[in-house]
Amino acid sequence: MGALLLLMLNFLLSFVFLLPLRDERGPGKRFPLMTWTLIAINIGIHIVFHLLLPPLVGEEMWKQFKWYLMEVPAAIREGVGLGALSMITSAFLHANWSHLLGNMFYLFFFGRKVEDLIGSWKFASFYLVCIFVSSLVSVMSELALPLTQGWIPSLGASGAIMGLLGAYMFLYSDQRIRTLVIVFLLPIPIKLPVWAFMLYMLVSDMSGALLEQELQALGLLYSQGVGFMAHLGGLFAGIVCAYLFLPGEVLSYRYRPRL
Amino acid sequence: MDFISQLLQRGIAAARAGQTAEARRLLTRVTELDENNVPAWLWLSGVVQTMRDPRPCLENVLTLDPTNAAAQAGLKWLNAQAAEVGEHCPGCGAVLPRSGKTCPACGLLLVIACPACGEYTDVSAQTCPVCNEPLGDFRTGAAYYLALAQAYLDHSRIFVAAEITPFVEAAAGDNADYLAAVAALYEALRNSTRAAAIYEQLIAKHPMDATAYLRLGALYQHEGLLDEARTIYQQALEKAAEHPDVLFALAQVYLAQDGASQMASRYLQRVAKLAPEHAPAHLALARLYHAQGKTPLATAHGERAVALTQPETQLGQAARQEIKRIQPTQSYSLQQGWGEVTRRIIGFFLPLGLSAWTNAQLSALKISFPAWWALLFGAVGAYLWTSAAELPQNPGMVALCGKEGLTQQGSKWAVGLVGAGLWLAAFAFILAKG
Repeated sequence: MGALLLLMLNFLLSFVFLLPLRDERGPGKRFPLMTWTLIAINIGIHIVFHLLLPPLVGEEMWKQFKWYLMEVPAAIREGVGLGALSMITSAFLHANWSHLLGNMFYLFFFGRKVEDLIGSWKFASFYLVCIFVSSLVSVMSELALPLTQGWIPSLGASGAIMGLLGAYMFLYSDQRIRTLVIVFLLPIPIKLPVWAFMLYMLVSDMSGALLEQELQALGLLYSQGVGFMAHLGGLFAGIVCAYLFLPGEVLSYRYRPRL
Repeated sequence: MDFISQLLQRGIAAARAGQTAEARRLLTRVTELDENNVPAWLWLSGVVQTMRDPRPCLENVLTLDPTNAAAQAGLKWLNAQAAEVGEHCPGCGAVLPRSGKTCPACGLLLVIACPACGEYTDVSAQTCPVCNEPLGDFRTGAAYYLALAQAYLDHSRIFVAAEITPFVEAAAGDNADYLAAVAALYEALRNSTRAAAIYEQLIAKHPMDATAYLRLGALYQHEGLLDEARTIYQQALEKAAEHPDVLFALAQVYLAQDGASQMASRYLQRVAKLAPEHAPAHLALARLYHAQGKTPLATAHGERAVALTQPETQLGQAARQEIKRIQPTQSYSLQQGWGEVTRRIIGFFLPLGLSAWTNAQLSALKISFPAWWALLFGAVGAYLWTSAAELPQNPGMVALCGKEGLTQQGSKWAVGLVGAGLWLAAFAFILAKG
């Protein structure tokens, strides 16, 4: 019954898509150097890895190499492969161009304003922390899946990017984002509060993660190919760890009473 | 017949026909073209608009032709008329002699000295004939004296202003606006007793008007009579409990009496609630909270005061100075404790710790001995890096380098680079499953 409800919820949510269009960044902000650097590194690695490397090393070798660089929870548990390093390498690898461009768009949109507040170098450290926390949550949840038991590899920056979204909500909770809400292919431009954006992400990721657990418990091998638990871990990391990277003055500003 | 003669003939014809406006236009045109035209001046004197205007026309005729009998007769008649009409005193209506300084019947001033140039002039003149200084309107009584007294005050002629102020008071009657102005004049003339008496008179006549209470309270405050001021403001609050200016003034009295008082805070908060745009209240609250060590509240109110004021105004500048006073203290106080140091190091330490835990197959017990050492070095590196980049005066650096902490630019770079190097080396060691 629970699985059926989750399936329905997932089905309905699959017809809703949120595309952030514009937010208020304020005048006089610096160029978000680290955000663009991370985007450039991701795109550079994708080009090298998907376009240049396969002809050089051959398709078979390339696939083995890719598997080696991806995050495989069971391999981490067994202590084989790259271990913690695979969490970093997998966060800079993407399955295809749409996966990469989607993630980079979100990195650009939410990264700029987080970088504005915490500074470029700390932003890089924060991104790293988000990678680790989201990967670890993903690893532990994947290991708990009864059928696959953590042998499905994962890749992509989405966990860290969800961390940026979490930090964005923590830092700019009273702001609104002009968003294109696409419901059943019908685009509706609307100014959404940040929490509403967050709520959508949270509900869709939680329902997806729970559905995977429920269906695998019923003996069905089901996967949407999305690291829901990595997303949730990233959100958690973003909300909690943003506090560790903020300058004291900004914290004081954030906690000032509303008049 | 030339053009001027034609104009003259047409003007005379119009005057004879009773068309005074047309005659005046034509004859004026003739005098403009030929100012020595005696018949034109003579006929013009008969068609001018007022009783005063014929005199210069006839005087011109006599200048050109001193024996002109018509002009002589005309001037004689005009002088007789003027003596008969005379000027009337605006105070009591008595006929006035042309040269008197005061009305012989009621003593009202009739001749005044211009406050700007000192030239004596008739009270009916609204501007000084010498320097064009505005003098006010004599015909409106209190307003004239008020303008005159204020003009004298503006030009630092205190004694003359003091002489005139009782005239304003006498002319003001029951008019609240004039009475308030008179009291303000007395205040400016340092006659607080008289000013207070007039404010009390105003309060008695208009008990619901908060302005007089405010002015009297401010007067008492200025005189250092804080208890009296507080009583007056409290009386005002009984009439208008939610008047932001009265509440603000009362808070100011409490602040002056015992500094950071709870009562002042309470009244100021009420002002900020009732009038959210009241910038002085926000500034006062910022100062009060800053004095009480409530920095976030002080910051919030200081920022509000800044937002509500223009930077070039006195209040705006005070608000901006207050924010500067609050902000450095805030960041300095944050740099004092180990808590802030710990908060900032944890962020850098997390990737190291999580990597070590991951590489130990997600069990802290399996973390190797060298990895523990790497974690320790990484933590030290993070501390040095953070100290150099952000917290040069943290307790550790103060203990190591003295009261100023890590202040020299050279040592900052050296310590920062050593810290970053240690952190990177430790991270690389752990990732390599060391």
